[in-house]
Amino acid sequence: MTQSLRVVHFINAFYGGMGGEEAAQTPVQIQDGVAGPGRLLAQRLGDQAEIVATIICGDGYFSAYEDEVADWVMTRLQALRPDVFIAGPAFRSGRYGLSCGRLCLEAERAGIPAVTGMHVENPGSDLYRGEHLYIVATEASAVGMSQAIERIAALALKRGRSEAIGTAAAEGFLPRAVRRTVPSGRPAAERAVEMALRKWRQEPYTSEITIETFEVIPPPSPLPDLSTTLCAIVTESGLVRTGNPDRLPSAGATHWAAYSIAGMHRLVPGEWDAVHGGFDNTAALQDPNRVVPLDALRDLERQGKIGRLLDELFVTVGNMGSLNAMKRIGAEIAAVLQQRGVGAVIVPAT
Amino acid sequence: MMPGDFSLDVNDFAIHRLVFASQTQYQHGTLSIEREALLAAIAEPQIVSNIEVHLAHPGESCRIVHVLDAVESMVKLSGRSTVYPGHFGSAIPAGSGRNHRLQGLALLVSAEFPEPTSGALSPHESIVDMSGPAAPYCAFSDTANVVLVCHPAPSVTNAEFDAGLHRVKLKAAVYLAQATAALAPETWQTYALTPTEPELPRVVFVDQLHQQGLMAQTFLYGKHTQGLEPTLLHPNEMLDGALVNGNYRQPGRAITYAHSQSYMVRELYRRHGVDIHFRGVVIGRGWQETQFLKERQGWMMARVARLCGADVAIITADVGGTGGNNTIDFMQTIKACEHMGIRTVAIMQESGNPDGSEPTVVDHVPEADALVSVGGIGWRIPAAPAVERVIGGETVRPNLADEPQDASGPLDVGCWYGAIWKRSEIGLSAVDA
Repeated sequence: MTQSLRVVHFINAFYGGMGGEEAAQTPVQIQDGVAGPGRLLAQRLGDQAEIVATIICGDGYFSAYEDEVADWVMTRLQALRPDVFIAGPAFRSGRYGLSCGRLCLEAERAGIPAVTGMHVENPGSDLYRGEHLYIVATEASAVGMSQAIERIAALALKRGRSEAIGTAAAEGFLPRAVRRTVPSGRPAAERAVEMALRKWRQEPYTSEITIETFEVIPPPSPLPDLSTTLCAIVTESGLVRTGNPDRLPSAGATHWAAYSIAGMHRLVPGEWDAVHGGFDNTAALQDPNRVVPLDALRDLERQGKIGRLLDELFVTVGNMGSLNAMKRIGAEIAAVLQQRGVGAVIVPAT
Repeated sequence: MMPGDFSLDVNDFAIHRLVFASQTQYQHGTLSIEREALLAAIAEPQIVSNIEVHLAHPGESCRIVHVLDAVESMVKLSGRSTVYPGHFGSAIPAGSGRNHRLQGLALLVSAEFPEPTSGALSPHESIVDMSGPAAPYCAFSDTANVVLVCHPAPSVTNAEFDAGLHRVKLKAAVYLAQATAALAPETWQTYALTPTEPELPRVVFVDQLHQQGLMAQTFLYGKHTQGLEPTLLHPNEMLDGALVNGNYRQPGRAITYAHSQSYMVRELYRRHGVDIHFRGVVIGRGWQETQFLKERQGWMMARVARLCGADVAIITADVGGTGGNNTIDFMQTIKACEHMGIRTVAIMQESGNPDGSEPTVVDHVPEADALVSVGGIGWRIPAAPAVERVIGGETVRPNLADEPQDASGPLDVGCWYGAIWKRSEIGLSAVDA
């Protein structure tokens, strides 16, 4: 007989029965046992899990004090140590979805498995699916409560017991930016022709790859005066000091390196290696300045066209880099640049 | 047969066993190979100083390392041109006549280059295990393999050595199949794009080739595809080996064997006249140098597809190997096809880390709404145990950043030789999880 799991449930003030929009400013609070949709959830969980406490917060209060509420909730969760944390379901309610997502993320980070439920168009789904949260797909409104609770309960039990979780389609959660390689049972060619025929006949078909949406990065506005600006060079070209002291890999980098260029008028061939696996490195080895144009930038510095060049060169390898790793590397380098007071960055790419 | 016909009879001789013998001959599924006669037929003494010939069968405790390419053994007994056209004289259009083919046999080339290489233009380690947990996920673990281990003559360049290796493997492919020349085939099939019911959708296979330079290129009729504008091939030209691989990067490399045994050509032929009308193969090169050229490439591919009447296009890059840079050309081709009124499905690999939590596709266009996945290249298979016999070298370097390790020892390799092609064939996919 498996032991009954301990569950903490989070809902908003509306579902906590405290009222509509007038209750949106209700401060965060906790009570023993179940409240609101927690009753149905408890029924579904049956004797396999017990809701030991319910946390309730007004949507307006949460958005006004998000960090404080998150800290408050985490203090309670640390004390209660539930086997699983359940939030919502929030359906298409935007503010409710954002609070469910944030609290689930905090719980996961503290090692407590979390499950919530939302409609795919809830802003909380956009924001938190990429964080790999388990968000059960629901209808847009509470009309879908029964089905949502059923799926949330089933998934929460599996997660609380650390059981294997099926695919998004099988378990009914929204794709959460995690891909698992599986046998399909049929060669790619057969599946491709079948999908193509369905598409041509205008019959429904399912793409096997969910289209990623990429963040659009608007170019920054021009700097008013470069002649007084401290400039820095950041490159993904994999140009490293000879011997590759920081062991940058030729592909799939997860770290970066910084090298002093203080006092150098140009990069001297032989003192630099190119470890990037995505381009022919011959020209870069013959003249590293053609990858990182230190010679040209020193000219501009002398002519007063740029203020000054930072004494450090920041390097990583872009080849086959994962987006998440590159985002982190970019943020880490940017933090150092900000610390140094850099106002402009030149990013020679390959 | 009319002079301009594209009708090809392929006669297959099944190979189950390979042995060395005093005479090269085929009998009841066994190919006996006279080593000296084979070596005499394929010699390139100016370029390749020494060729070792090894045999490997499925299930053996055997590992083949430094694999550069693999080819089908076949010979053209009648018809225009030759197999692997352009490599044996004039580039006469192939795709007609009668071929003998050794089915279930692969001819592998294993070699290390004499000069140092760098960056994109360097060969990556490629390993085949004939048994054990990795075998189902590497190409040529299920074929009877003749492995040619080639050593460069003193002071030859990489380019000279590479050209020599292509000649060696293709001559060997013809020499071995020649053993069946006088025999009646066991099975045969005629390949021709016969007329179909007019209402069937006209389908083209769009194949984006890999071309970056030495060590990373594809040959069409004996010439690399740098500068190639999209063009049309009859599928029989593919079967005849019009495309030869000179790309040694992992894992998305298209092997010569995978071109002549193209899974799309086979599948579209199988369904020709049943539920589709197979119109042909559009080829062009990926890895174009600029955004303008990548977009142009897409439009030029779509243009050829439309001009040959396509309603539907199925597109792959390097037999499913869409990794980085070439994904942009690939997406532009999908986009252009859709804008030219062609319904398009694309087969792609996914990138990402072992647990699948990193984004797996580096570029996309909204038009790419029908994608078939062959799984993630970051997906880990169990480590392979030590093996009794290694062909091709004593050390391996699965990751260029690591030190070389004992080739016969336990190996934990992400992608084995031909991994993407193999995954397409065995039907791996990926799901949201």
